[in-house]
Amino acid sequence: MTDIDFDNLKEERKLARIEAAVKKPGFAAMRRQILELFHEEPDLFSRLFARIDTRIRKYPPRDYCGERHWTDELVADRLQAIWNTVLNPAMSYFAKIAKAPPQEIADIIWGQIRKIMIAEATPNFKRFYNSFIQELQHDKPKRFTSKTVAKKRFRGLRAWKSDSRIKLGNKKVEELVKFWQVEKRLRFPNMACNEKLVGEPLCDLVWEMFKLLNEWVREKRLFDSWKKLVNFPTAVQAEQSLDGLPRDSESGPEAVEKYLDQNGRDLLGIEQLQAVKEVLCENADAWASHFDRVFAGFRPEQKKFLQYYYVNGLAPGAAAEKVGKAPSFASQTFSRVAEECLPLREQLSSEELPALREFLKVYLLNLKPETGRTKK
Amino acid sequence: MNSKNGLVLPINYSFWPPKSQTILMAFVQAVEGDILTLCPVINDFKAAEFFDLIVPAGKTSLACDLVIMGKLQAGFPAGALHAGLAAASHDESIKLCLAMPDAERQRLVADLDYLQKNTLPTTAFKVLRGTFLPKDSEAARWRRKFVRRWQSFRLAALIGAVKAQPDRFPQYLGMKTAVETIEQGLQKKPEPAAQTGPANEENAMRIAASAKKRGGISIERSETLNLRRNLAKAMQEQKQTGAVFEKLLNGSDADLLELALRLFPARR
Repeated sequence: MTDIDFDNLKEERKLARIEAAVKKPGFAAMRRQILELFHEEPDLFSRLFARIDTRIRKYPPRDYCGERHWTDELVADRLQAIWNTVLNPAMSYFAKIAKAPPQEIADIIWGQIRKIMIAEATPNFKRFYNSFIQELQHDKPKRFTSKTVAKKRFRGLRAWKSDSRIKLGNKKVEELVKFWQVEKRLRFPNMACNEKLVGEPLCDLVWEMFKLLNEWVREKRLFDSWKKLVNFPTAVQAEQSLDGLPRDSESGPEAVEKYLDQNGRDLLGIEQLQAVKEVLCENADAWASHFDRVFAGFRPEQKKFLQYYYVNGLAPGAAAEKVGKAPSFASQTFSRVAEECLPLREQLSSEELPALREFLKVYLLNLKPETGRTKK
Repeated sequence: MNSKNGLVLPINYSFWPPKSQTILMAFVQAVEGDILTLCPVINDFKAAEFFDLIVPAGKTSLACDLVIMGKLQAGFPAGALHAGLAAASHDESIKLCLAMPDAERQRLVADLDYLQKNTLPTTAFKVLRGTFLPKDSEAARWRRKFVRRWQSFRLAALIGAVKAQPDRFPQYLGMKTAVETIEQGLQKKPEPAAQTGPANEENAMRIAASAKKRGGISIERSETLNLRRNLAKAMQEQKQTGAVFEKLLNGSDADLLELALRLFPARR
């Protein structure tokens, strides 16, 4: 009955820290210096805003905000968060900015951009970042290094750093996955089976990967291939696994993507919502009998998994975990649903596709719970 | 039609948490005595959930998209609505709200009722409704925050109504001390989730005991416990054993205050 409002507590602590910082001697002087800085350099703020804005938009939106594209609103939120931290009297940035010459302000803020971007990233990406990138960073001084060539970042072994014979690789994600998994038969852990990814074994494995490849890897492709190699559970994975649906000849792949994406509803305008409603009213009975037949053949844990995903809104990996399964279970179940949806999907235009997803959600909501085997 | 039933009206912002800048209105779903059943209304249909009724701008005389959040319906005192609606009727937007045609008002009440009662795939889509929001989506996060604010708005409005009528309740209820305690807690604590179960004095004690076992009840909360116990007695005396009353008795602090207002109507 006396739950604690953590949001408020956090806010109160933050305010208390600011209050303490403001009371410290020297705060007034620092504040004055910052005000003078922006007064003397009136364009400084707008220049900084523009540069930070550009930098934020360079982060892949799928991972860092969970959307397909950066919107002005999303960028503005992050900009605001960055300024809130760097101009917070309780943070060390405040003192640094107060002392720095104008040309160095951007360098001070740069590090904070990355931190804020990670803090605001999707939970799946944060998990990936903590388990893989952080580990790689820890081991970097010993065994790994990176270099930038023609504005592209590459990763490789420290031992090659000055060896010009090691070429810059240009392999795509799929090629990398095939190379390590099929050609070299490296065994990768399955992330959702709780196989440990931290510590020495992970870094050893990455070292082995570089060694076998014997070329610099594009950093972005290394990260993406790693996600595939360890069967990293992401929302995108669920969408991709359903991608077996035939393309709509009228509107192309975009229409299918709208259907697949859990967040795709955001793309619907109010008119399209109404169109979806009409399709649902017309087809509800027929679709209900179709799904009755389809789900009669599904196992209880598959149904439970789909309920967790569509009704409770859990990520595919988390939903699979709830029924005691690995993420590969998510992809298998999604492919099966996609296959079973084919006859219905063929009757719909791309505009009407979201109706199928909405119907499936409500159908699953009403699905009676069943007892069945759910292996742990 | 009742004078306020089916209307979409501005809320009384003096009870709305000052930190929040959300713009919302309230839909009057029902009126019983001086208790109004209100649902929050927003106009961003992207935040609409499965139990929310969406009314496109073209289908309402208010000429803007409405999302009536049916799941958040709850009992409120009349003071939860913008004070002096009649006096402010020179205001164009309020005039528009008050002038909503009867047919439209009836349709909104009926549609919301239908939406709440029909969740089967064959019937659910006869009205335009929202969908299940992904748990980590921006909209779902916003909604969680909004629900907390709506609950504290309700509690603040009920406290306001109880304090405005000190003579309405018999002294044995211990209303004054209970309200003071609840008011103190309002600034710090979120509304607890409603509990369900049979309504009687033992049950009230059992709820409190289990909360205490979890370390969730402090000494000052015994005032609310007294109020709960006294309301259970009053319910038995008045033979009010309906499901609504039982639910309120076993619910949150706001539910208790609403129950008190229902059990002890204003004297004319």
